[in-house]
Amino acid sequence: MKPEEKIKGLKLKESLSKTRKSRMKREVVYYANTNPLADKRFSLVPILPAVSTVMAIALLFLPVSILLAQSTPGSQLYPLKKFIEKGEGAVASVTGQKNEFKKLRVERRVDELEKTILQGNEESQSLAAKEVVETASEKVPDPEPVARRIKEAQKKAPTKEVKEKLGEAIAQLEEDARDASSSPTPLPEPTESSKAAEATQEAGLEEEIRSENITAVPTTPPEATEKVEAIENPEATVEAEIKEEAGSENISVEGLLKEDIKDLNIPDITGKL
Amino acid sequence: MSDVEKWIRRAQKGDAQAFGRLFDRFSNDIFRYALSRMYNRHAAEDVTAETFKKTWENIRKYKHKNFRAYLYTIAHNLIIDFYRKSSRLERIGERDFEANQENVEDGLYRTQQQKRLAATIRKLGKMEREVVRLRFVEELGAKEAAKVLGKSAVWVRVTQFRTLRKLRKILDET
Repeated sequence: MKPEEKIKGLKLKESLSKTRKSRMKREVVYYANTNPLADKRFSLVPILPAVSTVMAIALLFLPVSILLAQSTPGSQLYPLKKFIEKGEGAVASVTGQKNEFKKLRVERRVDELEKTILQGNEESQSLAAKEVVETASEKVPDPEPVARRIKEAQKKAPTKEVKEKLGEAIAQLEEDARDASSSPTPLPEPTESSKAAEATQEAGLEEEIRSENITAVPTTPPEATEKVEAIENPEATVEAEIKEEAGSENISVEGLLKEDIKDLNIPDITGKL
Repeated sequence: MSDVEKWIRRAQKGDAQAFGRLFDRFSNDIFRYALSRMYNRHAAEDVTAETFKKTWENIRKYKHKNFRAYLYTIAHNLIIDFYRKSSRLERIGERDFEANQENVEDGLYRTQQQKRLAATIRKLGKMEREVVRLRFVEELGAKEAAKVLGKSAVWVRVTQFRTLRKLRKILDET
């Protein structure tokens, strides 16, 4: 008999008793019920097809987008580049970034022109120059640096035709630059110093009005003025009132004055009268 | 699909009753395995219950083809943890390959032979004993035994071959 066969005979025959087994089962099932299974860990497997599709599309479009960016007038992909650019322009006009887009577009055209000049393809150069002229004809924000770049490209341009076209573009951009500089500038916001100057100017005007004897409309009524005077000089006011009273009833002014002044505790002014 | 596979699928969806069925089916195997490695019957029962609790916790991760081998792996690790914690490693093998009671009744000669074999096996190294136990007593395949022990199937086959050769030599000498 082989040893492995003999070993098989050594298997224990002992097992769990029925009661013990059922008790253990209850314990395990209770544990399973009270410890619900944790949610599955994050796995990439379910979203793998979607991820791979996106990756494939990205990988497909990445070289295409690079090729599109590098395409120059005359190349096969250039119409597609222009088409996409139109879309970009529409988006820019909606988002209020039209000026930025125009600037970017004209810079792209100049880049293309420089590239075609470096490549030495005359046909492409002519087309690129035409594109530059077309783009420059639409008002470009900040045209001076673009005009400078085109001038440099013009110097390098090998053909007369291209040079002439670029000359047109430069003329257009320079005209735009002149227009931009001659247009009225908006009024600046008032500053602290300007406000102070304004106040001084107003004070000067008031003085001028006074010197020309221009009477201002009284801001306080005459009665109020009298009351103010009475407060400022009470003795004179009382004196005037007494005189008025005496005049109307033929009473001796001096006698009245003495009595009234005593009552009023006003210093004796009869001597003065 | 076998019943076991159905119960596993249901348990993976959170069905505790289906898991109870799996307990019914495999609890004695795990208990015997634990008992063969541990001196204490209560400890073997604890390991059995703990094995099923751990299995429940990880049932969703189960991708093995052999659920029994998966249970043995968990039980094996729990037994190692048990001895590591309780420092009772010296007790390993005390009950190993004990002659079973049925065979004892068959006759004295056979019992003596089995006792001699069990004593011989106890002289083997720890891993050799484990290979013999899993391959011939628990009747696991080489790949499954390799998974339980965390070794390669080739290692299991080589160890098994050498251990049997050693056993034969010892048995022939005696």
